[in-house]
Amino acid sequence: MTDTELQSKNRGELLEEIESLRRELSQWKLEAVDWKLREEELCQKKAALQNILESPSAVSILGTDFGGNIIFWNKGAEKMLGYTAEEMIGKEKILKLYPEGGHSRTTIQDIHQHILKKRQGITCEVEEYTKDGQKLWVQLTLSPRFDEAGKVIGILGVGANITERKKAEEALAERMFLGEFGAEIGVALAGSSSLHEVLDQCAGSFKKFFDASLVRIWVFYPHDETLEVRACAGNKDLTSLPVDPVSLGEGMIGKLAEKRNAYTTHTPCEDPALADEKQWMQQAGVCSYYAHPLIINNQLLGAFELFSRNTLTETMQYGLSTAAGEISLGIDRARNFEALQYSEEQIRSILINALEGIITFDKFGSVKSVNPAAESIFGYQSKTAVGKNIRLLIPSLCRESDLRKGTFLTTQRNLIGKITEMTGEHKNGTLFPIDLSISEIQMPERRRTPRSAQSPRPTLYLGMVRDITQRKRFEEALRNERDYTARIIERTPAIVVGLSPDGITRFTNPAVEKTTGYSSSELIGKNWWSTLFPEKSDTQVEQLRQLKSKSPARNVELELFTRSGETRVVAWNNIHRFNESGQLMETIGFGTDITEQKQVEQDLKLAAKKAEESNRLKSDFLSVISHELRTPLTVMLGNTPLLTQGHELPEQNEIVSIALDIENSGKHLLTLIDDLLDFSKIEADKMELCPEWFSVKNLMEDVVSSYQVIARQKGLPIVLEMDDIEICADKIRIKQIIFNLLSNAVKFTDEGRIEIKVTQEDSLAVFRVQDTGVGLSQDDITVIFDLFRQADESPTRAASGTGLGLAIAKKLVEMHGGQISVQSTLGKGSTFTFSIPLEPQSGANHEHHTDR
Amino acid sequence: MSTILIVEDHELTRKTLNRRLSKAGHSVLEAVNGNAGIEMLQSNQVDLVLLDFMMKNMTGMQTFERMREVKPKTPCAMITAYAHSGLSKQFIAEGGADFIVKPIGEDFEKRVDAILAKDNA
Repeated sequence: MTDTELQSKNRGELLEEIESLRRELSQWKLEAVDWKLREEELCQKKAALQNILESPSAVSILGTDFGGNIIFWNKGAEKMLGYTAEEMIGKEKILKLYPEGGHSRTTIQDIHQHILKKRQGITCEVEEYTKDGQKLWVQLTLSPRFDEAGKVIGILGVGANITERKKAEEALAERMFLGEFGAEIGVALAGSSSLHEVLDQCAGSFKKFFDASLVRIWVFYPHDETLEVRACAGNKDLTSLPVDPVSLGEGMIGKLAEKRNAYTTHTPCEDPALADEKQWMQQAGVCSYYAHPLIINNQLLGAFELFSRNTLTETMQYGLSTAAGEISLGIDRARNFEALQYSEEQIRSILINALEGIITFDKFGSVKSVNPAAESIFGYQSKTAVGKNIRLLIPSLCRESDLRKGTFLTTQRNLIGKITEMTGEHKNGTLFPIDLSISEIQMPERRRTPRSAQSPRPTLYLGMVRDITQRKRFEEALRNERDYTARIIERTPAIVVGLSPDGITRFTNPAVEKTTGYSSSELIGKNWWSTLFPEKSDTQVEQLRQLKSKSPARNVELELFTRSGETRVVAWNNIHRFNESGQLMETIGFGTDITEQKQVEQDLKLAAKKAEESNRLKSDFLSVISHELRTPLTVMLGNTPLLTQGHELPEQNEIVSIALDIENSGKHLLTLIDDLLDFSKIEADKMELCPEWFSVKNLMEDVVSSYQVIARQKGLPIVLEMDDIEICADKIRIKQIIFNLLSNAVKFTDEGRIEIKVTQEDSLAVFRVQDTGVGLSQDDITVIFDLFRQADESPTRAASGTGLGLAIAKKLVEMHGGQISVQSTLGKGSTFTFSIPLEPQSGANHEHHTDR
Repeated sequence: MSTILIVEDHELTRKTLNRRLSKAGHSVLEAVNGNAGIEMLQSNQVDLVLLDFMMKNMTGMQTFERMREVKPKTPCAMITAYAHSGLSKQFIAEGGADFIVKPIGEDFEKRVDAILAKDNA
C-alpha cells in the first residue's frame, strides 16, 4: 500500500470519523442543554474534541463568535486555507475567506443569519479563498454554538475541500452543455435549407446556450470586401440596434475577419475595441465577449460575435470555435444550395423558354422530358411524349436493336457533342430536317447527399433539336444559285480568277487553263501576277499597278505569257471584296482574251495604212504621170505655134530643128504610154508572154547599141561581156527588162562605166547590169521593185520616169519563172541581177501561152 | 523688150520656151538648174524669171526663195508640169508673180507681157 493510498484511506476514515463525531457532538450539545450538570463527562469529551480539533487533519474546523470573529482555527484549516491560527484567531472575521465580488460571500452571510436566528445547523458548498488567493470549493457544515444558558454564541464550521470533485462536476456539466449545444447547432444546420434560416437558427442556439445578451452573425461579401450582419439573436432592444456594414480590417469584426483569429475578453466593458458597445453591455451585465471568424477551405465566409452574461470558460470557447467550423460548413452548403436552386430555376426557365427543342432521354431512348419548343416541333404534348421512344420523334437516330440494348450512344459516340443533321417526324407523319446535338448529362446528386457517395448516378442524354426546314430551303436556294453561278463561271470563255490581297491565286475557271495553258493546280497557291506577267515593261507595270489597286479596273489591256511562252492580250476587269473594316479580302479578276481581236484590229490598221499608202502612191503616181506626160507635150505644143502662127516662118534649118524636137518628144510620150499600158495589163493580170528561141547575144547588142549614143554623150563606156546562149522566152519582154535596167544605169550614172554581163549558170541565164552611179540606200532597196516607187520621190529627184520600170521588170522576170535582185551601196553604184530559165519550166506562169 | 531668165532642167522645154520668148522680142537667158539661175540673176539685168519646179538638187520653190534674197524686186513666175494647187497657192502667197501650168498655150506670150506690164506699173 503506497503512502498516497494510505493517506486517502486515512482521510476517508477520518472523514467518517469526523462525521460520526459531528453527530455525536450534536447529540452531546443537546445533552448539554438537557443535562448541564453532567460537566465531568462533558469535560472529558471536550478534551477529546479539542484533540480532534487540534489534530492536523484535512478537515478545517473553525469557530466564530456571534459577531463572526474567528475564535477557533485548527491545523486542518491552516493547512487548507494557508492562514495560521495566530493570524486568524481574534484578529479576522470569517468573511475574510469570502472576499468581495466572490461567489459565496452573500451566501455565507445569509447562512450565518439563518443559523443564528433558527439555531439550526446547515450544510452547504461554498467557494473559499486561500491566503494566496486560490479559490477552493468547500463542503461546509455550519452549526450554532450555544452557551450554558442555551443562547447561541457563535457558529462552528467544519469544512472539507471538495474542489477536485467540483471541477470534475463542472467539466462534466460543460461537456454535457457543449454536447447539447453541438447537437442543437447540428439540427439547426441540417434542418435549414436557406442561408437565412441557417444563420437565424445558429444565432438562436448561441443565445440560448451561452446566456447571450446579443449574438450577431456577420457574412462576408468578397466583391466589395465588406461584412454585414445577416442574423441576430438576443434581447429585443439589442437585436433591433442598427449595425452598419464594416469593411475588412475595420472595427472589431473587420480586424478579426482579416486576421482570421478568434477574440475573447472577460472585461468587455473595459476593452477599447468594444467601446461602442460599452453602454449597453454595462446595462445588460455582459461579462464575456467572444468573436470568431467563419472560414471554410481557407475562404472567409463571415464571423460571429457573442456578448454573454456568463463568463465563458475555455471549454465553452473551444465549443464555440468548433461550432464556428460547423456554421461555416452550413453557410457554405446553404450558399451552394441557394446557387444550385437559382441555377435550377434558371435551367427550368431556359428549358421552358428555349427556342430550340430540348428532349431528355435515357440510354434506352425512353423520353424523360420535352420542352415546349420540342412539343411544337414534333406536335406531341409533353405528357404524350414522355415515356415514348425517341425513335418516334427521330426515326433516323439509330437502329431499334441498339436502343433495346441501351448501347447506341456508347457505340456511336460521334453523335455526342456535335451537331448532326437528322430527320424528325412530326405527329402528323411529316418528315422534316433537324439539327440534333446530343450531350451526355450526369444527373445531379440528391441534395445534401455527401459528395463521396458511391451510388451510381444515372446517365441521361439531352438532345437539342432545331427544325431546319427553312434553313434547308434557303440552303437549297442558295446552292441552286451558287451552282448556277458556278456553271456560268465554268462555261464562260472569260477568264475568272480569285486572288488574295497579296496576289495569290485562290481559284481559276477552265477558261484560265484554255488561255494560259496552266492548269488550276499549277496556279493555285502561286502568285498570279509573277506567274503570268514575268516580263514587265513600263506600261505593264502601270497597268499591273492599276489592276492591283483598290479601285476597280475596267478593261485594262495587258499581255500575259502562256505556259508555252506565247503572248496573249487580255482585257481585264476586276472587282474587290472588302470586309466590314474596309480591308481588302479578295479580288475577282475577269479577263477576256482579245488576242485575235487585237490581231484583226492590227491587221485592219495595217491594211488601212497600206490602202492609205497605196492611195497616196497612186495619187503621187498620177501626179508624176501627169508631169511626165506634160513635159513632152510642152515641147510639142510649145513649138507648133512657131510653125502655124505669125506672119513669118522660121528659117528652114530652124524648122527642121523644131520638127525633130517635136518628134523626139512624141516618141518619149509613146514610151510613157507603153509603160502605162504594160502597167495596167500587169495590174489587171492580163500580161501575156510569147516565148520563142532567140540568141541573147544578138538581143544584147541590139539594146546596147541603141544606148551607146546617150552613154557616149555622158562619157560613160558600156562594157558588154557575155556567153553565147540561146533561150526560149518572150524576146520583147526580155529586151524591155534589159532596156529598163540599162536606161536606169545610164540615167543615174554621171561618171565611171556601165558593165553588162550575161552568163549561163546551170539552167539559168543570168543578166547583170552594173553601174558606178548614185546607188541605193538599204531602205530604197527594199521598195525599189514596188509599183509606183522611185528611189527618190522628192520633187528634186534626179531622174524623170514613170516609176513603173523596175516594177514592170520584176513582174516580167517573175512571169518567166526567174528572179531579180539588186546589190547597191549608196554613192558607189548598183548591180541589178536577174535570172531566167533557159527555157520555160512546167508550172510557170506562161505555160499555157507557150502551148499556143 | 525685156530680159527674161529661164531656169529649166529639161533641155527641149528650155529650148521651146526660148524660141517662143525670143520670137516675141525678148532677150532670153537660160539656166539648167537653180544654182546656175541664181548666179545669172546676180550677174545680169533680168526683168523676169521663169522657174521650172521639178528640178535636180534644188526645186523651183527653193530657187525662188533664194532669188528673193538676191533680187527681191525681180518678178518670178513658176512654169511647171507639176499641176498642184497647193503649190500654186503657196507660190503666189509668197510673192510669186504667176503660176503657169505646162503645156504652155497660145496665150503664153500675153501672160508674160502681163507680168512685165504689172511690174513696170
